[in-house]
Amino acid sequence: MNLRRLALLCAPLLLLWAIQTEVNHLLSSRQLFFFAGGLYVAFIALTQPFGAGLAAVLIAGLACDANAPVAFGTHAALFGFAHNIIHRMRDRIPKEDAVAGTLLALFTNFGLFLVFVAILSPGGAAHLPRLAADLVCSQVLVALAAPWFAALQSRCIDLVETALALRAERLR
Amino acid sequence: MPSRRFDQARPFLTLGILVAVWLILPGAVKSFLRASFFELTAPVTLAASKVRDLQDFWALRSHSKTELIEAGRDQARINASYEVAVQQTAELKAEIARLETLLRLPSRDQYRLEHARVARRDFSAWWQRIVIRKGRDHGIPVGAPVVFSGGVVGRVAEVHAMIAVVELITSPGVRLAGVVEGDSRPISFQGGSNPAFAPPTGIVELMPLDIIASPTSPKRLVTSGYGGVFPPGLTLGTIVRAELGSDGLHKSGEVRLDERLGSLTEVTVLVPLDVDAPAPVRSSP
Repeated sequence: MNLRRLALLCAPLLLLWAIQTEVNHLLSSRQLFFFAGGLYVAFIALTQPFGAGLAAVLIAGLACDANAPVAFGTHAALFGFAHNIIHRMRDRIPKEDAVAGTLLALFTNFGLFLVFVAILSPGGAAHLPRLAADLVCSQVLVALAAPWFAALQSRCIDLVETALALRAERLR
Repeated sequence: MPSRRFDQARPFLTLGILVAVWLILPGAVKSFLRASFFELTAPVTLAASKVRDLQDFWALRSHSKTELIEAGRDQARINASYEVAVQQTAELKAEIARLETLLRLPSRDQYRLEHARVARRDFSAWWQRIVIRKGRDHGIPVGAPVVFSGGVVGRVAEVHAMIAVVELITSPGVRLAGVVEGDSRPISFQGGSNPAFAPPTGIVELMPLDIIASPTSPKRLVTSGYGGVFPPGLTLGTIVRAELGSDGLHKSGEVRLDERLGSLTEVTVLVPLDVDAPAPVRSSP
């Protein structure tokens, strides 16, 4: 596994985490929450080799875990599982299509959110309206951010590919 | 064919092995990793908070001189009233100290006040936390109560070098003992569901039957002082509904919490004076 590739894959994920926390800071006065799990996983699983992609989503998951009061490794395990499912299906999904990528991010986000509800749900029907509002808010923001984030990641991946090609040429 | 099947299952097998290794990993390693990842992301939180402050600074700079003069005049009025309050407080403190000496009572000064800026707010249906820009370097211990002008904010859940995480009383998992103002019987308070676009709420249980509260005649809920975390008399919220509980022996109800909890920018940590924490390295806000 190339460490430079891994670092450049993790950089946009760290940026995404920073943006997600800032958005949550702004939404807190309205008692809303932005869950962006699908964005962390979808594009990497769709375009990257298995090892580097899995390592990147696991690192992003651990960063999310460290900043949330959940068992350390929860985000990482779920992101890893979602990554593997998408990686297995990716031959059937058009990689270059922005709409397909956005839809995939939305489905992944929806699935991960439901799993989190099942794991962490505070219980009782009283919380359902709040969870529904959080889900709607998250899906809208994911749909808005997905094309930009896909473009950012593909640019980072291009950088990695170019750097690796130049290195290989120099070695030759 | 079996080889192809194995190839298809290999990603899940790899993840399964990783999860198995993770499960048998010692707790100390996980704690170390958690702290490492938190400290790795802490500069991002701090930088974002400082940038926000800078943004506010430039926004305030765009105000006209007339607005500045008006704000200064208002501030001077507030300062004048505060100065009177400070003098009264000093007199009362001196009186308390004199009585404590006369009656040989232990000192009531149990806390040192540590003001801190809020670096990040993180409010979900599962947890409600804020990150403050002070931590171990400022002598903040885990479990210290955190307050603001509207009452109780929560308590310190995690402490790191430069920042600390505060769990809010609005968190569904938080439970503490409160009393209705003017009453001494303890009531169980718990953070409740926090509906979107609405003020945060809490739940009260084990409330005595003679306490009556409704939206038209709400009752102020304050900390009881039991449990040793929060000093008594700090505002938690107002009980706006009280109904007979399922056991028929107690009432349960709803507590309306301060709306400002959702937009906190500055809080005060009550650092216990008898805590065996290292002396603060820094004292600036």
